[in-house]
Amino acid sequence: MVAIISMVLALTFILLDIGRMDRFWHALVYGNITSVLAYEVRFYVVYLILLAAELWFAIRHDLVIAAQGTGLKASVARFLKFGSTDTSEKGKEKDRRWLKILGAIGIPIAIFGVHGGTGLLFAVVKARAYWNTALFPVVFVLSALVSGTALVTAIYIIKTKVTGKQLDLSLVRSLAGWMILFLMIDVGLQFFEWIVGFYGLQEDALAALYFQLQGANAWVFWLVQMGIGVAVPVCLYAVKSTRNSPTAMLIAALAVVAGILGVRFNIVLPALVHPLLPGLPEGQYYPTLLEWTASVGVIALGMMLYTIAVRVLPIDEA
Amino acid sequence: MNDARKMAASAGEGPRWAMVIDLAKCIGCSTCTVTCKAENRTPPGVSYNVVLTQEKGTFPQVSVEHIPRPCMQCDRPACAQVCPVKATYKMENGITAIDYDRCIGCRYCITACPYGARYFDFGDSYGQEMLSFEFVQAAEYGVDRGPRNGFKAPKGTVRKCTFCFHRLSRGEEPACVETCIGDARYFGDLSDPNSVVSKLAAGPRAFYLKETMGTLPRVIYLK
Repeated sequence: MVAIISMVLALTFILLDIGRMDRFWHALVYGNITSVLAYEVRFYVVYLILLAAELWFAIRHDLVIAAQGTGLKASVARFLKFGSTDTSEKGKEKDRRWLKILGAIGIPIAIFGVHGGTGLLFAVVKARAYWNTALFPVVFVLSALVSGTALVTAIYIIKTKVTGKQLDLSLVRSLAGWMILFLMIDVGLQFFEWIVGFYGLQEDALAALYFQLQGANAWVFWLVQMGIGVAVPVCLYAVKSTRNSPTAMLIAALAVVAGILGVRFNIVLPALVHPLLPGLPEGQYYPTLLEWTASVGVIALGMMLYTIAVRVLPIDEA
Repeated sequence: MNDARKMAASAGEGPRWAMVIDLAKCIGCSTCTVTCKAENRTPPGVSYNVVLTQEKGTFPQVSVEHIPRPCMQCDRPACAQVCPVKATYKMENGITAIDYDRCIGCRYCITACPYGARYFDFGDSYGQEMLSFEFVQAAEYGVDRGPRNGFKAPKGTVRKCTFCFHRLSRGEEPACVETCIGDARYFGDLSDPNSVVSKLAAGPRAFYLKETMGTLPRVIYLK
C-alpha cells in the first residue's frame, strides 16, 4: 500500500513539474525507442498495476469476509472483491501462489525498471559529467532500498503507537538493521563515484563536487545528508539502549528520510548549475514558495490517501 | 567526412543545411542575438542565439574571444535521443526540429544538450515594454501560431533555434547570417561538395564545439 501511494505521489510530482500538464497522456501515446524516459514512463505504469494486483491478492480473502458485514467498509469490499467469494484455505493458498508469481515479476521490474531505470535517466546524459557514470543507476537502487526500509520502519512504529497495538521490537530492530546496512553500502558506492570523478580532473565534474562540498549550499551535504541522513541514524543504531528503543528508531528512520531529501537536491543541482560552455550564465536555484507548498500538499495528499485506505480496506488484518 | 555524416548526406533529396561561423571575423557585437530576437519574437528567458564572450590571459597578454552559439543542429542530436515523445527529431534537411504541439515540457532535452541551446518557454512576455509583443508570433517551421496569448502559443514547451526554417523555405538565409556585420557567418548545403560551407568545413581552421560529445554538429567554427 505504501509502495502504491509512493508511486502515485511520485507521478503527481512529475505531473506538476511538466510544462504541459494537459499533454501528460502524450507520454503514453507517443514513444521513442532511444529514449530511456519513454521506457521509464511505461515501467512506472506497469509497476503501479502490478503493485495493485499484489495488494488485491494479499487482501482478497479479507475483502470477501469484510463484504459480508454492513457499512462503508463492507460496501467498498463488495465492489473491490470483483465477484470473488472463495473463503476456503485452498483459495488462500491460490492467492499466495499468485503473490509469488507477481513478486517474481515485480522485483526485477522494481530493481532494473523502476529504480535502476530512474538512475539510468541521469546516467545516460553525457552532457552532464556528474551524472554520466554507470554506477549512478546502482546508487539509485541502493538509495531506494535505504529510503524504502526507512519509510516502512517509520510508518510501522507510528501506526502501532497511534493504534496502541503491541509493537514487535525484533521486527523494528531487523528493519533498522537492514536500513543501516543499505545506508552504509549507499554511502560507500557514492564515495567510489566521487573519487573517480575527482581523479578525472574534468572541469564540470570537479565543479559539481566543489558545489556540494564547499558551495553556498554545502550545508545540504554536510548537515542534511551526512549529519541527519547518516551520522544520526548510525549513532542511534550503534548504541544498544537507543537501538532497543522504538522512539529512537523512529527518529533514526525519519532522519534517513530527511537525509534522502538532501541527496535528491544534490543529485539534481550540482550537475545543472555549472555552465555548459564558458560564458553561459551560472545556474541559480532554490525551491520557491510555490514549490515548497506544492510539495507539502502532494505529501499531505499521500498521507490522506493512506489514512483513507487503512480505514476502508482490510489491510491490517492481512 | 565521418561515416555518420556521409550517411546523413546521402539520405533523401534536397539540401542539408549547415552554418559556418568564422571566429576571426566575429567582433562580438551581438547583432545576431538581437536579430534573432526580432525575427523569432522569442519571449524573455528564451534566446535562440547568444554570443559567449570570454577574456583570456592576464594583462598585458590578454585576448577576447567571442563564440556565437545558435543550435548546432547536430547530426546525432542528444536531445532527440532522450525525448520521450519524439517531439524533437531530425528533419531530412539537417535541421533538428521541435514539434511544439507534441512537446510535454519535461525538459529532459535541456539537460541532454551539451551546448545549452535549448530553452523552456515559461510563458513570460515583453508586453510591458513592447505593446505589440502579444499580437503576433513568428511562424516557426512555417506554422502560423497566432497571438502570443492565444491557444497555439508554444508556452510550457521547450524552444530553440530552427536555422530560421521559415525563411529558408522562402529562399532567404537565417536572420543572423543576413545581418552579421562582419560577414562572419556562412550558410549553405553541406551535402554539396562545392558549396562555400563544404569548402570552409573541410579547411584546416574548421572545428566543432565539444567534439568529444560525438554529436556531429552542423554548425562549424573557424579558428
